Amino acid sequence: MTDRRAFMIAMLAAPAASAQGFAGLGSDAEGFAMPDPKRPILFPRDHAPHPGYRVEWWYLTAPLIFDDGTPLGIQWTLFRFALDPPNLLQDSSARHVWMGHAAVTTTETHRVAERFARGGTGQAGATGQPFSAWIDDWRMSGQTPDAITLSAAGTDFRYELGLTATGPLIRHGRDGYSVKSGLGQASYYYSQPFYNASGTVDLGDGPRAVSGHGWLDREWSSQPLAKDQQGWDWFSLALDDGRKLMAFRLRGQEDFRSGTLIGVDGRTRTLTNDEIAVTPEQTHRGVPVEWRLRIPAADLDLLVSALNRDAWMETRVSYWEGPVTVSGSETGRGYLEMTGYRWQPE
Amino acid sequence: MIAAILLAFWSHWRRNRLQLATLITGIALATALWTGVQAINAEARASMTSAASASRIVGLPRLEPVEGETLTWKDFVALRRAGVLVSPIIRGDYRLQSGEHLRLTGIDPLSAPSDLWPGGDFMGSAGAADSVFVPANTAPESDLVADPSVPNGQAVADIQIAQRLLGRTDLDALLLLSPQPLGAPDPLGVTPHLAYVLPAETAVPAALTDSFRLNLSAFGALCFIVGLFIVRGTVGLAIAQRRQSIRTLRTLGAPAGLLRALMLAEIAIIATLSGLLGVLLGYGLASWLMPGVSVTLDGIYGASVGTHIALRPVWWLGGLAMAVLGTLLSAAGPMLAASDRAVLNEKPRSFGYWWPAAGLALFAAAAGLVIWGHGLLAAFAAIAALLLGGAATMPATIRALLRAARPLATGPLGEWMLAETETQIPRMSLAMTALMMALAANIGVSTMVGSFRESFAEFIDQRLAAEIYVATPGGAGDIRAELSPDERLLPLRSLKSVVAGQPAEINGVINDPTYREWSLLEAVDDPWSTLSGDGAIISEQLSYRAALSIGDVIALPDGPATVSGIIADYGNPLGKVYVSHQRLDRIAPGLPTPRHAIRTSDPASLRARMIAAGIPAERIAMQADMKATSMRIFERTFAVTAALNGLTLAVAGFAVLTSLLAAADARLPRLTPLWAMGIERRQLARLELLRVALTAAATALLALPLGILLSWLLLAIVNVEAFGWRLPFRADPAHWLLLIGVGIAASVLSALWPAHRLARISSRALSEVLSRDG
Repeated sequence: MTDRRAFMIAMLAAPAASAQGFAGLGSDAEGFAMPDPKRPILFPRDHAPHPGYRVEWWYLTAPLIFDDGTPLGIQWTLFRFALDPPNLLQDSSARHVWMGHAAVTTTETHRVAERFARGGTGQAGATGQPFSAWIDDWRMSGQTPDAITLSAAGTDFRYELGLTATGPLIRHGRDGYSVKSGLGQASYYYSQPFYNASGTVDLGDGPRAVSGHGWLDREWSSQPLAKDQQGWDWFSLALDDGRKLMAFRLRGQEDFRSGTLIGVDGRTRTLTNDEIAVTPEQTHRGVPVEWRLRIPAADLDLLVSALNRDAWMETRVSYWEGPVTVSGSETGRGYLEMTGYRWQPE
Repeated sequence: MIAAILLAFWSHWRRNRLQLATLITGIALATALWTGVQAINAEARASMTSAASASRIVGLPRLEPVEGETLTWKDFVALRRAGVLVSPIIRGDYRLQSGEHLRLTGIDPLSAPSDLWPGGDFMGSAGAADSVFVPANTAPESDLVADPSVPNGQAVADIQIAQRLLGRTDLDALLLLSPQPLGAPDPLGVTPHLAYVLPAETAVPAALTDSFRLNLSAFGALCFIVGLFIVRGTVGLAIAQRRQSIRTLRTLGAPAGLLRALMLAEIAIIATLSGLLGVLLGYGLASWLMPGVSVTLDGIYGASVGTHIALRPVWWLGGLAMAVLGTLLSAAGPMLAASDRAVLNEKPRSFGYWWPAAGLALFAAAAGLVIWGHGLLAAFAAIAALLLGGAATMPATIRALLRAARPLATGPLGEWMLAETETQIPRMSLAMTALMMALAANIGVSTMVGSFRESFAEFIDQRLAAEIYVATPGGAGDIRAELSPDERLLPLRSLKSVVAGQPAEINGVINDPTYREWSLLEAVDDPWSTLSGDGAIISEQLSYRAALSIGDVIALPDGPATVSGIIADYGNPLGKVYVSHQRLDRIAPGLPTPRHAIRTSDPASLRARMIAAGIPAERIAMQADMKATSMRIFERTFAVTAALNGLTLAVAGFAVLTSLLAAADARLPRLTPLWAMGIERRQLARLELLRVALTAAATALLALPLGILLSWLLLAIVNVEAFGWRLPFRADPAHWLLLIGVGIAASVLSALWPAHRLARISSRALSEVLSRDG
């Protein structure tokens, strides 16, 4: 029960919980399953939820444009948190809390909605085949991850998208085993970065057609962060030359950087700590909203700028997440997520 | 100069210690009553704020099951997955290990609106997920977490924990969150077996307790005003006695302005010190009364407040400020006048015609407020106008009464008595106003409480007509076997439902003479027999909230029903509908009957028979015990009112005393001619007593109609606004006479000591008065 209590406190007590990155992700993982480098991600098995792990997420971000060319972005996120370690005597589904975040970001506005649900009731859940994840009426579903529909709504927005993959699923790290710290903290992590997306976004004045591309992240672990890690800066970029780049920096006593450069054909190159240089260029209200991201080995020297600097997620666990524009040695668009910061008064 | 003046001032008080004591007592009493009531108010308000937060749940629109349907997690999930934001709640009675009962509310913190429980972050404390949150003053037990945001008498837990503790799997309601997501569907399209319930405004305890607190405030203000009469009387006396020394000081060259300032400073210091004393007394008073207030709020309004008084600046600073300002206000006039006109003789105040005119205008205002006003404030304003009008017209009325009594007087002494009483009215008027207000308030409030008590007792008599009540969780078969042929079994069962958009209980009753003894507020002929058809009898609350009257048609789960009667149902937050036993069977087939009532001519023997047959004693309740308990709660509820009534009368008596003391010296020149004519001092003293008694009697006579009007206002206006219940006016002349007697007795009692002094006064003193005046 101690774990369950600790978790509830971490997650629901206050926004201050974000100090440890995200909702107690550095907590003890005793009793939970741990990622194992000898056990790679396998499809379709690993499309299904992994209730033996403490935390898992379904994360879809999509930099889009309205039909008049105005840029925007949407975010759809579902987290599963286990309240206590798996127990043969208990119904496993009831031991989870689900948290959904959805957002629409334009240059003018950033609209956010948040949902919570307890496991075991059907209010939220996920399946592998068909591939689906939901909380309330928010839903991501398809027969496989190759073609999915996505919907969410808040009090001031609603979106419905269809997403079709034009490339393969990408397993990060070593066959999906993604190391997160020098001490060996790790998670399982795969992505579908090759979505073409189209659908409608309604900001209260009726649905408008949108199109663009989408990026799905699936990740699960039991202790993805080391104790000293305060948060992360995470980039998912779709370059106009067709390449994709995932890169993150975990901020601790020593920064830990990692990434994956994905070729047009889906071939990947894992980027190590020394191959990535990432420096904040400009901050807004205490949060870096413009970054210089350099991968010398791939001749990339990119300037990554927020589409809307005020894309702070005023959710129970708060963080910054929004669409970005890429310039520099390559152009493109993408998403940036930054946790563990304090949103300071203007 | 200043030192000399102050010394002169101080010497006055040193010589007149009793006067100083009177002044201090007056201010302290006024302050004590005011702060006491305010302290109680502040406490009740603080408790109510957290109670109101709990009642946010009560006040939110929700979906509840209709027609005996149940509400389950499935409904919740169906609505959420359709895009309707709802949050489940469950409520029930939860018994702690200590035996204390709490009203447990289970909430789902994951879906509840964030401001559902202001100040309460139940997931923030350690152990939150498995704990029950209880009020801060609850005795510690394992798994209980004390949380100041939980109101007294309540408990909060996660809904699944609450379900487990309450032994339930269903839910009570789904709160509808606001705003709903863009494009959310109509919830009733998703779950047609649920109904919208928009809680009635009157169900919010804050609004109800406001009226009680306003009531207390009015009492407090009344006490304070009565106290100020004492202050004014005493200061007037002090001024009269100081006239000589002030004259001397002026002659010695003390400027009038300086004298004025120093007198004000002097009275301000006295007021501050006495005010502090009063605040202390007020704290004591509040601590003494608070348990009663707590019972009142709990008993009538179902709002639980604590029994402890915290030192809140709002009342003790406020009380002190009231003491100083009130004293200055009531004393400044005579003081300033004295310092200005020190060389002149004070003229007695004259009462022109504009006083009665103002009084009549105030009466008209009260009538206007009753006819055209709405809400509690208008009702209390009408009460204030009525009392002030009474005060303004009092001197003229008493004068008229005395003149009317003149033909009754026999002999010159009798005539002199009446004439003298009349001339003394201006001097007595302040004290008599205090007495009249206190008496009118006493008559009004006691009539209201008496009417309530009688109605309540009648209500209890009817509702608890059966001699024995027995819990029958497993059916009544074993009881039926014990009954003799003349004993009748009445099933008591009800179904929670929604009727006319209001949460209500549908009760099924069999055809039994017991019910025909219940008196209805309104009904068609023989209303109970209409239940065999499509008739239904509804409670007053339901008729009030849903604006239903006789002949209206309500929708019950099995079809329409026509309202054939309206019945009082004091203190029940739920509406009630009575239908026939058979109809309830149709509405909810298989609904269990958890309790039965039994009519018997020998309850003791039946109880013994049932216990012998193995029915546990704790399942059997005897009518007599239940009635006694109900009445005991009622009496305790109104103990506070009685205590405050008594205190106001005591203060009024004290006011009479001070005004008599103030007038004592002035009386001598009026009485010495009589003494010179050979009337003994003892008889003079008796005449003085008689004069006071006459004035008090006239005042009391005037207070009677005022008090009756006041009680009518309380019953017909204030009660309906505050409770939603009408109460019949029940006259209690014996009690009124008693109160009037107490008022006169209090006055005469106050006059005893001045009269005693008069009887013992030395002949030399009287001779001096005679020679000075002569």
